[in-house]
Amino acid sequence: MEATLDKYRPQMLSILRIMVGLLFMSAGIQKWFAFPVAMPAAANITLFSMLGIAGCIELIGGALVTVGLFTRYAAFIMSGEMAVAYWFYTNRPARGFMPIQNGGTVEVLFCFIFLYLVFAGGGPWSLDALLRKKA
Amino acid sequence: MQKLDELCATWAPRLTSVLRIITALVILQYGLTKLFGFPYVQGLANQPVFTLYWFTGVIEFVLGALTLVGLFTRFATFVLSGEMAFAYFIEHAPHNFFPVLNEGNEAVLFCFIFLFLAAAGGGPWSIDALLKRNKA
Repeated sequence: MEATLDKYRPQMLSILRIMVGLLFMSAGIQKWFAFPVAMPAAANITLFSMLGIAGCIELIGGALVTVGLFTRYAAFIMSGEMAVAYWFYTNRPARGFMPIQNGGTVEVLFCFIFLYLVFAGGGPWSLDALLRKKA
Repeated sequence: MQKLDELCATWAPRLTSVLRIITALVILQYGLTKLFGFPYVQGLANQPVFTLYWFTGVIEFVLGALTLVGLFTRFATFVLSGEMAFAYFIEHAPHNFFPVLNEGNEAVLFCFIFLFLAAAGGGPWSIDALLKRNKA
């Protein structure tokens, strides 16, 4: 049982990576393109603002992680972005200390998944793996 | 470059354990608030006994604690992954197709992290690994 599961571990890593990348990219798409619905805070979004830069990281980084290109570098930056998002935006004393109270669970999960991807890479179903095979 | 690859190769299993511990801590909050009302969350805390939400609280509390210490990790995470899939399709998906709008981001993330952990196991920093080392 364990041996069978271990065999599929690299493929599962790629599946996790693709899902997380898509979800993360959707945050950037919402900020920049107001799809599927406009984000009130991002109505007048400009490139050089906190929200604009965050949207760019989410859009570009999310796309890179989804296809698995430069996974480690993209994941490193996105992990950092989520740490900033948690400590600067969701973790306000008025909203409570625990992530479930201050609404920061998603940020925590994203932060640690991307930290894991920095070390684990993109798995076998990624452009990184394809490029390495060609080289 | 090669040094970086080596560093990543040694630390990747350990980071599996870190991911497991953090995810377990996050899901434990849900179990604790549903069963014991701590940390208190309006609308979620202190579910009546034997309701659907109470049962999900039991799953999250018991299996979340098992995942936290890394005991029977594969079994616990597999069940939790299934629970989160249910949560997504019962609670969130009917509202809207997009996770951004149905607030199902957390459920999706939980579901896929636990699915990955079910395949990967708890990593070296877990009771599972400790038991295996003692047996060998």
